[in-house]
Amino acid sequence: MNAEASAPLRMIAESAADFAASHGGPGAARRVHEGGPAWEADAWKAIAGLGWLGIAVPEAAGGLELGAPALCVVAEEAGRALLTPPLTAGMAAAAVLAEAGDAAAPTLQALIEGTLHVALAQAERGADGTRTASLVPEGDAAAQWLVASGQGADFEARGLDPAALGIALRVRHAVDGSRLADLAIEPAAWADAPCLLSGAVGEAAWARGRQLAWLGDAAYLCGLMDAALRLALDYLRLRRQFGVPIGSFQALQHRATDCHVDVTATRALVHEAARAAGTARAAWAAAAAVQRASAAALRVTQEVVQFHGAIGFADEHDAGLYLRRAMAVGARHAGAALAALQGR
Amino acid sequence: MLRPESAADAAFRHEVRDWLAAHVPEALRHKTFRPLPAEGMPWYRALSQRGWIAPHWPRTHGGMGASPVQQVILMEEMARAGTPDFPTQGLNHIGPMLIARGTPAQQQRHLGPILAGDAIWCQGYSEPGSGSDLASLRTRAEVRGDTLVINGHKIWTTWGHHADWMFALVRTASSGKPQHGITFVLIDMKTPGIRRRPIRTIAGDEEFAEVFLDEVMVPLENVVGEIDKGWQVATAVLSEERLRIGAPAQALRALERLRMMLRATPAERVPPGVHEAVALAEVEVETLVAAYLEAAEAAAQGLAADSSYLKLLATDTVHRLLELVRQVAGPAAALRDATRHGADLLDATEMFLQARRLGIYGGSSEVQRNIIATRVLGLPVAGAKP
Repeated sequence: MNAEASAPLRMIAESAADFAASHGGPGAARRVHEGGPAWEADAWKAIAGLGWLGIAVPEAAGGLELGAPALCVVAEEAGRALLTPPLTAGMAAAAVLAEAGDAAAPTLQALIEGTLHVALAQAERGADGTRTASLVPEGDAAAQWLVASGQGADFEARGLDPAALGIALRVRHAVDGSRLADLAIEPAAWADAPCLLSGAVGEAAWARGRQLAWLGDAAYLCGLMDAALRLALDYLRLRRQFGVPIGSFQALQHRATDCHVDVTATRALVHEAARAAGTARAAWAAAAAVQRASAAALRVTQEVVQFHGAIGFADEHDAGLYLRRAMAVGARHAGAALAALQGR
Repeated sequence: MLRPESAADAAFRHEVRDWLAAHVPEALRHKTFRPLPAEGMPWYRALSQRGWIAPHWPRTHGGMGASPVQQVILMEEMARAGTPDFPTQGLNHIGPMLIARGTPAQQQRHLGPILAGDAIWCQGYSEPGSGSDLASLRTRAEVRGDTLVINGHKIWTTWGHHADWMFALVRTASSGKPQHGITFVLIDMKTPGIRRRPIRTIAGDEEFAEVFLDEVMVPLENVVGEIDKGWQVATAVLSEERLRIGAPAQALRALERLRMMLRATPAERVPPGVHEAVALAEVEVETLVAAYLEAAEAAAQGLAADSSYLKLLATDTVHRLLELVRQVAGPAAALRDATRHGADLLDATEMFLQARRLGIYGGSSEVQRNIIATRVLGLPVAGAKP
């Protein structure tokens, strides 16, 4: 963690690490990989019990009001333990709901208490007026969806019940075993759903929430790749070939060092980007964080598999769990983050 | 820098920007190569008189005691203004070493002239047979009465031909470990017996030199630390030196070159994909700035932090930026000389060639990786008994 991190952040990191180690870890990730649910009501409730889902929500709205740096600290520890519940999405959704006024208050309350999950999704509007949102992590576990559509004065975010008439949910499997949901919303169903945010003000609130999701996923990937690299370093120290530990070979040492540079530098960027939340450069910073973290996590976890040789290619080994999770989480914001970096 | 600036930091940035606009000589702006002393040292002295020559030195020794954020502000504004390079062996190496390990008399004699720009220093470490394996150095020094008599040959000495003083590692004993028996000494370059020859680099400038030492007599009071224990002096401020050598200053300069080349190139002539690559390179620059701030702030608080990776990160970042400059330049990347385009400098070759040194000096990238692998990551040393 950053040397600047204050005492409250260190305490959050410690409790997050404890929780993540006891509820997550490669064993839990493997159960999801083998078909188990990524989101479970009990675990979600336990997460909520630590206050995390309200971490970026103002105290007046029932949150902890600790902002992006704390959100990132929690997400980093979650990533280190490969936690599969959609934690960053939940934290970001709560922050958006907190800006949506009284109409959203009951949903926000339920989310902070952990009695439900709220999915955040950006919809595309088709020629026939049907709105579709795709590839939303653990969307099938969400009792509520907060879906945005349109831009500028036409921007709207509405609260949707995915089981309502005129709304179709389709579930696909991500490479790590977690689930991705698509939602198709007929015009009438959209019109019936309450509008929670609108216009430029609503769009700005939505953008801030999206930045939190980017920062959270970036931090998650930092924790993930750090844990993966540690796994590989242990192996490089222990595994012997030609009578010596393979970690004494310069070819492997140099590549392990490049992974270390990638992990350490990305983490510094993510922490700095979290501190920039709320400033004029917040959007660029969040995009930079998730862009670099997604690319770095994929580089590092591929190397981690390679460092292990054949056992790393075996499904029974944990190295593949880190690679698969990095592939799934790192793909979430591809394109959007790059566009934001280029001011589009 | 992504860090939100305090009101004081924002005011400092404006002050620096305004002052640089008024005081950097036009002829020295956006120079790739360090101007020769006659041309460049007046600028050094101007910066010194303004109080900004040694941001990282403590105030007790005449430095600015600047926070890491202020240091980055200075680097960013100097890159934007295109301020020229100046000699840094005094400011970044021997100065901090003397502050840490010098006698009060040595500090008294040397720190002031370094700050004022009255003494240019060079580093006498590398020898023809001792590069990465520095501890194998063979330049000999013998104690005769109250003098040290030095015979040997130093090479790749940055600005050795311009320096007034050299801080050098010399061998005073050759038993035990190679690191033992090395002495750290300050040599006045006017001493009889010193001969120097500039060496031209692949970039075309005479950035370094070789220095021959023949019966060079140096008073014993010029030894820093103890005889035979110079290795400890040379490594005393390693983490501080790693911050200097891994600072984002060069990357910020390279980014400025890239921006100038993009400004001068019609959009339709920029090859497809390059705009995306530029956006990603900007992320790398902010990554380096973030990494520098994290390490420098940890050091300022006296916390242990790994800064050894910064040089690798900085080198990669600079190389990436300068490769992009060449891509934007297209066929004009073949040109030898930089050209002026209004206030901008279009340079696809000078800085690119010059930047090859980043992966070599101060410990090559390969040696850096060896060190990180074994000392930071705890991987076994090759050939060591298990």
